[in-house]
Amino acid sequence: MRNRAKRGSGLIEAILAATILVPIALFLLDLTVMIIANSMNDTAAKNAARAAANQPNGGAAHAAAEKALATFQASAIVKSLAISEFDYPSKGVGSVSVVTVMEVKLPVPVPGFAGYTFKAGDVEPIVGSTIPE
Amino acid sequence: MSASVYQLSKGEIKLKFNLVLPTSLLVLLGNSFGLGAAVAQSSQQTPPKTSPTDVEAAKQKLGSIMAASNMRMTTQAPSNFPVQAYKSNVTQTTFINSTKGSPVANLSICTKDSPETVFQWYQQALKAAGWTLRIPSAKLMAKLGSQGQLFMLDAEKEQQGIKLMCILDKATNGTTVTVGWLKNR
Amino acid sequence: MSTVEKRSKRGSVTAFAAALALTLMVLGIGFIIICLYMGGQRETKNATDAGALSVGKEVLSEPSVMLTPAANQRCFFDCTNDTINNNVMGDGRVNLNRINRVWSKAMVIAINAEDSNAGGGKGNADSAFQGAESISNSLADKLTDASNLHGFFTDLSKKNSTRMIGVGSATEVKPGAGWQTSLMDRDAESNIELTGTPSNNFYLPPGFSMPGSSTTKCTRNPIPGEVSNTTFLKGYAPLQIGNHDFWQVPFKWNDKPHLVSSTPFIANKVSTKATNWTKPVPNAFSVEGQAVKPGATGEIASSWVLSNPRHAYKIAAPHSFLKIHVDQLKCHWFFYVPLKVEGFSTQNYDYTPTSLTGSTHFPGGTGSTSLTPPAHMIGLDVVGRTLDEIIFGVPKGSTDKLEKYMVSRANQMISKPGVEITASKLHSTLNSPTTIAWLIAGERDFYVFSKDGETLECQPKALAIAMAPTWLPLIIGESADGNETKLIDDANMPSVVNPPMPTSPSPIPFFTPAPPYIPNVSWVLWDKDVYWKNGTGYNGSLGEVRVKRWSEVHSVGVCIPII
Repeated sequence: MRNRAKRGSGLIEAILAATILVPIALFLLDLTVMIIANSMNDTAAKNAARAAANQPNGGAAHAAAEKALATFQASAIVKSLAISEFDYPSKGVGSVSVVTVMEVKLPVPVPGFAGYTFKAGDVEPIVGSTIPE
Repeated sequence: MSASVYQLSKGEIKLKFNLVLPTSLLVLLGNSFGLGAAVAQSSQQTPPKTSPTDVEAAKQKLGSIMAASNMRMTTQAPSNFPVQAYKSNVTQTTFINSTKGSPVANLSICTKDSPETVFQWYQQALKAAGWTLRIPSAKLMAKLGSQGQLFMLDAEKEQQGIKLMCILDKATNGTTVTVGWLKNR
Repeated sequence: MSTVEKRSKRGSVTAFAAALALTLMVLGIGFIIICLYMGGQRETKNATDAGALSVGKEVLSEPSVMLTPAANQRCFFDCTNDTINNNVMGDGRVNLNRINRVWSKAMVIAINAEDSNAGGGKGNADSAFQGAESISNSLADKLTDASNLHGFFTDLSKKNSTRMIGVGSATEVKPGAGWQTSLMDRDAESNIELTGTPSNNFYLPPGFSMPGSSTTKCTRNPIPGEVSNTTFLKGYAPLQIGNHDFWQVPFKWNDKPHLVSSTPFIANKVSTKATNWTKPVPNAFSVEGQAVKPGATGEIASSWVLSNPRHAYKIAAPHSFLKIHVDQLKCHWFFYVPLKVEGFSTQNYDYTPTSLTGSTHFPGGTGSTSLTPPAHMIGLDVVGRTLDEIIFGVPKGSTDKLEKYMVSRANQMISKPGVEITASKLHSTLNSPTTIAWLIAGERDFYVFSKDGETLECQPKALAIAMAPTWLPLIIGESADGNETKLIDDANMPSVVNPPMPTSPSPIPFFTPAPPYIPNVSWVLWDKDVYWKNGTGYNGSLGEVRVKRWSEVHSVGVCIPII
């Protein structure tokens, strides 16, 4: 009887340890994905804003911003990346502001959190226009 | 100055060197030629006898005066003048040309023939020699009020220009022809 | 096995698991902190870059220097706008976008003063140089004072999020040694274009040649098609005219303000690579920003930016004019008694021909008591002629130098890059049929100017003022500051329209007039003098052309003895 109890206690300890360790590990995995996605979104916003700032007018600026995001390819984790706000001054003087939105599906679903939407913004001075006469 | 601005009216000739001749000018031109002809006529009374030597000396004096002004004056058109000289019933010919600077020349011929005859002759001669003529319209000439008294044309060939006028000499009913020749600028 | 050993064996997995869990959590937190740190670095750098670009863009407009009322600064007022349209008034401020215009106008004045007849213009050119240098030095002082640029930096840097540093943090200026200036793209083109090509000497005044070391083609690679044949002034390379060095700031054609790396920036700092320009105007700036939140780790970032206005101009003196004056027409009467003498009466005539008769002259000539010259139609040398023909027409004379002066001045009035005023265009402007009417109407003064910076006008005073009301009235009364010289000296020719007329001298006793025409004849000569008075453009006048035309009636009256 004592031998049987000895064998069962090891298993219970292993299960107990796993119950704590596995969620922590999975949480860290989700956290890593979120951090990387946030960084990607920040970079995308910066690239879009920089591209727009090098254009001479609003139309070209918006097209350039969209083009800067065109290389993005959706995956199982990063579902979408798009410009949610685009602000270009009417006379091409000042700065351009771009806000991008990225939808991320966490690899390890968390109850109540199927995915997360990241928002990033960047403001760049317009260098594509010339000094008005 | 008056409020009116000098304008080239339609059909008004713009001569080779852009000399636009209004009516008053042409009338005055005609009158001045008449004056010259009257002076010439008065001297046609029998002149007193003079020495040919003295006449020749006087001619040479004119030659030296002209040379000092880089000009030459003769009583004959040179054979190489681009425009033929009218030869019928000619009473006087003078030819004046520059010897330095812009090549210019002026051939003046007094003839007993009518201006219209002389003008027709020159039109044919110039056309035959390859000149491009610009003749004012009869309407313009009528406007100038100088029918029968003044005939004029511009002509162009290669780098040369000509301004020709046939003016009635009222004293003799003959014609004074002026042929101005210039190399284009 | 003892009881104690068995008991310790049973608890070891749990403890290990607990330790592992703790380790994982610590590692996780550490990972997050590192990510936040690196993210914060990235965000600070992005914000600093944005701030740097803002500096590179805004520095073109401010800081600026206001012109003083001194004449040698006021003369650059036409360079204090951002347009080629001469009729747009400037605001009196010179900034990085406009400084090359100021220097190039000073060059124009100095080049015009190199003429042998510059006279007082030389002093004006010196004054203009001193004025340009003073403006440039003041601007350089302001541009190298980093405090003038901080605001442009924070305008953009604060708008960029640095949430990785902490909520509420922002990138601000870190004053100090991180804010420097540099002179980059040395020997590249400035934004001032030369008109024409080396083959036509860039339409510069006769006698002046632009040194090849002061000019360059576009240095962008490949050269954009629009400027493949354009020559520019060279930046950060001195152009010596007279005793002075004139300067330009290089701005590569159509290059946008952009970030550069630290290596070329540092290599071109004045402290690293000296220049002969005493106080050079910089075109590149370094910035340093920091994102700090109390209690959090701060980040510092640097950026370097090369500025460029992307606005090309032409070497020009925009608010300037050329005056043409036509003297009163006169008819002179000459006689040969036997030497050539002028008659007592000199008559005026105008652009409507008139029959004139000179006064009787005593004596009339050899063997003659008197001679009354025959009437001639005077005015045929000018009737129906345009201003261009009055100046350049027959009798022609040597007009080449005059034409070169006038063409060079005409090009100096034009501000629009790429617009050339050729000799043909100048003649076309002066050949306007309206000038015939103005001359007949009695106008004697005409003004050549550009009202819009790209086309040429030739108008009498009242009309010129009406066409350029914002600036021409202020300068139209100015005289050229140089000396007058005669460029065409008595060009003459026999009239091609006036036939020679016979004369009738009155003979002395026992003499009779020689034959008419040869030698007793009267003829008409057309004569012309043309003067050029050099103008540097310092006071707005680029020069004056004076045309003097007259007619000469020569009358020979010879009488010979009667035999």
